Amino acid sequence: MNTSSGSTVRTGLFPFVLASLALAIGAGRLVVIETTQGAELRARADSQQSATMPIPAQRGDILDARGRVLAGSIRRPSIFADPFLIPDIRFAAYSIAPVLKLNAAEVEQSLREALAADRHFVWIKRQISDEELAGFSEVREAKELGGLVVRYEAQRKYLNGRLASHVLGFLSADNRALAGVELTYDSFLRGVDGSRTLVVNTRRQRVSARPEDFIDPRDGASVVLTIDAYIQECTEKHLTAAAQTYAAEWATAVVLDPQSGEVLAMATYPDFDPADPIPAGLRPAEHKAAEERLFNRAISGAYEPGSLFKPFVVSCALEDGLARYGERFVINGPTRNWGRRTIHDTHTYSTLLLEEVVSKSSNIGMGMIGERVGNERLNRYVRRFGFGDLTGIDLPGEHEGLVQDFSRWTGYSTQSIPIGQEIAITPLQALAAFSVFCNGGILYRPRIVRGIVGADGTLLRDDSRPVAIRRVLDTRTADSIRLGPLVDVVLTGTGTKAAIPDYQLFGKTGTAQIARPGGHGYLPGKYMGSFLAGAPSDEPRVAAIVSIFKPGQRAYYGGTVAAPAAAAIVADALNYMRVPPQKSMPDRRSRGAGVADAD
Amino acid sequence: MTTLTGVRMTSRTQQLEPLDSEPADGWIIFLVGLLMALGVVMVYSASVRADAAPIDWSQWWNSPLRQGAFALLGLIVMLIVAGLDHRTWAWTRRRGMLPAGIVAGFALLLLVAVLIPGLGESRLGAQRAFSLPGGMTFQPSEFAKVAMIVWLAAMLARPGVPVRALATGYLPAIGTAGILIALTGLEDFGTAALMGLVAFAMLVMAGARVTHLSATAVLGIAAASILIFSKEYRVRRLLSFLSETPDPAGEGYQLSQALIAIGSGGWWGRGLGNGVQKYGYVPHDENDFIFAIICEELGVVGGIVVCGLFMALLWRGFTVVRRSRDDFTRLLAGGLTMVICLQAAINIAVVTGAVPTKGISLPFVSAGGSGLMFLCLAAGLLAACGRSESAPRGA
Repeated sequence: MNTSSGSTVRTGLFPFVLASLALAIGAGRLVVIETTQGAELRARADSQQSATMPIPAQRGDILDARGRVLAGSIRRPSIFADPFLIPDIRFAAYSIAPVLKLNAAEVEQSLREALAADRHFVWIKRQISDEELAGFSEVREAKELGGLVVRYEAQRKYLNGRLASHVLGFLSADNRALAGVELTYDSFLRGVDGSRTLVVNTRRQRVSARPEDFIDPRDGASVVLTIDAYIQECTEKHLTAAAQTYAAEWATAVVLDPQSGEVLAMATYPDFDPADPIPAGLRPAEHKAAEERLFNRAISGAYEPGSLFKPFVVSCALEDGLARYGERFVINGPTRNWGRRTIHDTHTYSTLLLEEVVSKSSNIGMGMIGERVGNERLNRYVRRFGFGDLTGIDLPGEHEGLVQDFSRWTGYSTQSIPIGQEIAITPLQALAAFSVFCNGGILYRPRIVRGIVGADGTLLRDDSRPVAIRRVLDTRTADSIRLGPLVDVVLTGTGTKAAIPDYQLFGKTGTAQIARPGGHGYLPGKYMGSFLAGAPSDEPRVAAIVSIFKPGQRAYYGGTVAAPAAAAIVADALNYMRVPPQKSMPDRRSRGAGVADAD
Repeated sequence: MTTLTGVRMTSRTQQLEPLDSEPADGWIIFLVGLLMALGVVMVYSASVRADAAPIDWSQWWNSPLRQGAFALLGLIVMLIVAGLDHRTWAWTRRRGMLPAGIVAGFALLLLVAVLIPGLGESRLGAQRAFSLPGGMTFQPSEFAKVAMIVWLAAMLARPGVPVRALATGYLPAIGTAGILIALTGLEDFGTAALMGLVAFAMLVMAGARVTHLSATAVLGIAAASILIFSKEYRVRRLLSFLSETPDPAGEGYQLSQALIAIGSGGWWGRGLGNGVQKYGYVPHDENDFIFAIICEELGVVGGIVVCGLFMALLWRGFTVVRRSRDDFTRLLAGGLTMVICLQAAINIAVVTGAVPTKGISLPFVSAGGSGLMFLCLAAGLLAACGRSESAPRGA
């Protein structure tokens, strides 16, 4: 087929073969691409064509013991932008700024900065109002603005405002848990975010959905607290009143069910707004103060207990038969020397009964008891009452207190520990140990969470049962301390201002010097006045501690600044809990006379 | 033009046989129609946007319907041309090279005119098109490639002037064709390369000496190199192609996106209309890279079918060449077959990454106005060449 009819022109098969080969190579390339790179190319296609967006899980609620919602979540629209998808940044900024009540120049600048920094995500305004959303949507529609997206974000709502702020904690602006129950139970509250995947074009606009890649979010569980909102409210009210009356630097109070270790209220003054813990635009000094307000004083700081510590030491002497009720101690006050150490009493006593050593808070008497007990036994009992250990409460940032290792105890300790020096404890530790006198000698772990309920209503965790850590005292010893010296404190001792109607209250005052931060010695003229209280004395239902730090007024004794507040809190709690009035009230005259006005 | 119709001419010339009333080559018209139908469907699919707005009938000109209108117009052009006598453009004793000369001269004029600033429109760094009303453009190179084939076929088929004679046969032919190719190559390297290949193929078919052809090939490669290095973007494309790891965001972007489209289609494709790469990922997805979208939606199998359609066209063109009775028809049919099928082969090679990127579309399938018209004209001419096959010899 090369030539035909003598012409010089040939058919020229050769070019046709080559052209056909070229087409065949093209087809062959397709097969080669598919077999050698197919999977890799499909993976690249998938990664560039799909956009996965989170579907945030609803954060669980925090409820009080009676199911009242303390913290809940709602969804609010927020607006973000991808500056790379905005054709005219200035136009967009000046279009949306008025309806969102923003400064147009600032919006433009933040968009331009993101553009320069190669960031595809800028918040324009978070958690806007419905009105702002309507205005924004209208403008975006009318001016055909691209690159501006509305995303619904969860917003935490604390329905009772500042109530129990230190217990609840708070979240950061991007909903990360930072403190309180929000933090300790974050893994339950948070839930698991879902996601949906879209096929998108090069401008990241939706082309189609990919239902097979839809992941359903799992909403967070709700945490039920042992806190009762009403008792909490009363506690905060009385604490704030006391702190303000005595111009305290701060104050804290905890209310406990001594029979189970359930925390009924926990408050710190001054409090904060969990929805906005550190407001924007504060000066540095204010900012520091705001940060200090976040500190949960009831558990996060340890202080020398002072006289609060006396009943614990006396109980150990009684438990081991080293002292007995009715025993008379020769005080010969107001001072006494142990070696080079001089111990002072506020009042001058010649002799005191054992009960009176506690109720009148004699330091010299305690020094003598300390001598009998001895360092080794003291150390053992201090540890048995839980001092120097975390109580194990489910809140972040608990301080374990400061109990020196026994190897570092000296002859000084024998007199220091019984009067609450050389040792530092948290208010919660003091209250948990105090409960030992209320429940017949058992140390319970303070609990703040009763249980966790899943989003579908199933009970995920039941924490409602008391957790006994150990028996500290024999029941008789424990009851005798409560019914004896601790009742005397209120009847005739340092805590007479804590008397309440209908119930016999018992307690112990404490006025501690404040250790100089980071050094030896104490701050002159600075005290922390505390009161441990419980009632009713025959069958205690409520125990409470109130500590007033650095009261600025003349008064600073625990019996003056803290006892009335503690008594008011206990009284309100008992009434609220409908505890029947006590049948047999101990008679004041049957007890020792002579009211002390100090500890 | 009607005065130049075949019927009248044949009655006045003795070389040409009378035109029969037999039909043109139906296979070619069928295959081209099939490719154009595929083109309309695929251009429609590729032009879908994410917001998926319904067609605005008052703006139909800017919608995928436009490709349908072009395809219809192309079909009409092809059928009309197929009905005319292609031998009008051959050398005759009476008019010599005049008819072919008019065609080639007109192409030459347009190629020069497009270079004049203000007349030609500069786009993407190349000045290769005239603007027409309705947002359309016309590239003289589209016309020049057909004109060159007509001219070369007429030149090489002159009786008594053997192509093997260097001075009288070979040099005048390649000289004149070379001018058209060089002028095209100034602004449109891809089309020029295609024209060069087609011209070379026609010289081979005409029976040129191997020594002449070899020398021409060397000269052609040298000329191509000069053209490549005369434009910065051509060098860049070449370097990007030669690079082991082309920058996916830069020059290599188009190709890597085309490969992703091919790969994501797999063997059987995502299904017609289900492609994703057309949503802005593959640039020029309706034009030069429509083949990638075909592979994504219809799979490797769909791509092979397209290759097969062009091979069928090649086979049919070869049949026309083999059966044709005069040199002009033979060379014309050969050149036209080559220009269509080589353009397809180059386009597919570009999209699959076998050769560097050039601005060359997939014949009959890619979106386009003037380009499609001239290809339909070429196909019509080829179909016309096929008509003589069943005509009685020496009637």
